[in-house]
Amino acid sequence: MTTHLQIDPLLCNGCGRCEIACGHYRDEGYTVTSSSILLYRAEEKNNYFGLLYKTEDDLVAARPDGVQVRRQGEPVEDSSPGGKPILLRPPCDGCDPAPCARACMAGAIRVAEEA
Amino acid sequence: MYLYAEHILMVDLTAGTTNAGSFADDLVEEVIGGVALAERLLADYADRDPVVLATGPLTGTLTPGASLGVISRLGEDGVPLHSPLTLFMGSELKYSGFDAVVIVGESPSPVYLWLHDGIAALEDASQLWGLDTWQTSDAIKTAKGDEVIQVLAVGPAGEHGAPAAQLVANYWGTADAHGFGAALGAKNVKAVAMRGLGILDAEEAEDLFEHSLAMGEAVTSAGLPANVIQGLLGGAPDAAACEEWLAPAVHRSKGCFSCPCRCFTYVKYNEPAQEMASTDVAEPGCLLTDAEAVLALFRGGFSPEEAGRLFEGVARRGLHPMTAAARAVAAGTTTAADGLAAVDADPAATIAQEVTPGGPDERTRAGYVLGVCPAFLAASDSPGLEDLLEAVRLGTGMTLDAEGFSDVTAAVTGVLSPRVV
Ligand code: SF4
Repeated sequence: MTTHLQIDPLLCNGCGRCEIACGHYRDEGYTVTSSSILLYRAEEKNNYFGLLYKTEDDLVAARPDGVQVRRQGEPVEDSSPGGKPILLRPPCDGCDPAPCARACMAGAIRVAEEA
Repeated sequence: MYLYAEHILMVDLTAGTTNAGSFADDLVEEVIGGVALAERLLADYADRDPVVLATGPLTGTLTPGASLGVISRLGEDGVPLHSPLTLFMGSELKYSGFDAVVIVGESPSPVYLWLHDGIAALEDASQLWGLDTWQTSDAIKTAKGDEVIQVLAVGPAGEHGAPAAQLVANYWGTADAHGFGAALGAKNVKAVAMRGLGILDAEEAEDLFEHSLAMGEAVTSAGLPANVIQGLLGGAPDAAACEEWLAPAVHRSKGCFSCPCRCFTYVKYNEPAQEMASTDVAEPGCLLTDAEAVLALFRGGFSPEEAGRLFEGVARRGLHPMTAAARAVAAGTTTAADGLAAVDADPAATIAQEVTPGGPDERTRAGYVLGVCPAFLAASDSPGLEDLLEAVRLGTGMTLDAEGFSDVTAAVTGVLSPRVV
């Protein structure tokens, strides 16, 4: 399937608002633990940040050096240390309008055109 | 009360105890949060040399610019001194389960304060004492097994009581112009480490959510506010030349929690600046957090790479960037090594305080109470004060009007800086 979201990691300014917006859609509260999308901010010292996004089938790593799509179950480097790993989160259910895309003020997240 | 973490933490360093108390709703109704809450807590513990960290009701929410926390203490004349906490420091504090933290007394041995999941602990920091801030942040993140822990770190400068010792945010300089590195160092506190996995509930959850996204849309449809760093440089006649000078070293800029701006510029000097991958160069560069200090080194004849190296050294030491840059330039140096030697030769250097005539404006004060970055509020006309108060009303259920709120901001007597970058 095509993913619900198209992410341009280089437009991201690292604010994490998408994560809180998706968490709110799930939990009706502000939290970083329940979103299907999250700001990857573990490698701060080298300024390597982007977004991780989980769909039913795939894990999308939208990193500054490119967007990688991995089938779930394929090995991935642990890319969300601490907290709650992306693999334990609910997958994106394709909600519309997508709160993460609405929340992004940098234009980094867009809802993909239907294939 | 909704939108708050609903806990204030008391840390008694002398006794070695931490005590998380529920806060009283009427206290919050009276002072709302941020610097107003901090000033109340400073007054309550004035005889115990308090340092207070505080957030506002909007800190950590989807309000644009809602990254702000503050750290506060009493100056020698008893006037409160406030420094802003940006990046992810304010939001992480609140999500860790505390609206505010009061640190009193002095620890008999080095400790760091560890906050997560509404739990607080004083951890032994004897192994960290003497380390620079980068080593300190790395050591805490490694010890706790979580890279995303946010660390307010004291460097060697703060351990030695240097007046220009500032708190460092993970690895980067901050806008702390009140020497909180030295203030915590004197208490034997090496760091405050925070991880926030909590949840903040809102009274009218759906309405607040829509209101917050609408505030964001108003910001973006008006055109993103100028990068605050560019805004600061924009006032200088040589701003464009400075930007051109810096450009070859620029990797990527970034902003703070829930803010559309990109106030911080990362430069690389240990690998090509345009390298976007995560390579085996673990420490390729440094995040520039003080535009004026960058301008000073440009004017002083530094290369952008040497400027970046100097700011790394300054952040590792836990020093105020502008104070260090001014010292390096005054000594006629143009390399990081020489500049840092000049800085090290002058440990008694003090931070030149900027005084805003007439004090900061109402919008700045409002941001400092509510938890919204005053630099963002200065750069963008929206959201207006009424939008921000509506967010508080929807989130908390408080009946808060502009008049009542202006009584709260008017009662703030401490030193606030409109500059957070
Ligand atoms: S205006 Fe700048 S300093 Fe303030 S929250 Fe936004 S990015 Fe951070």
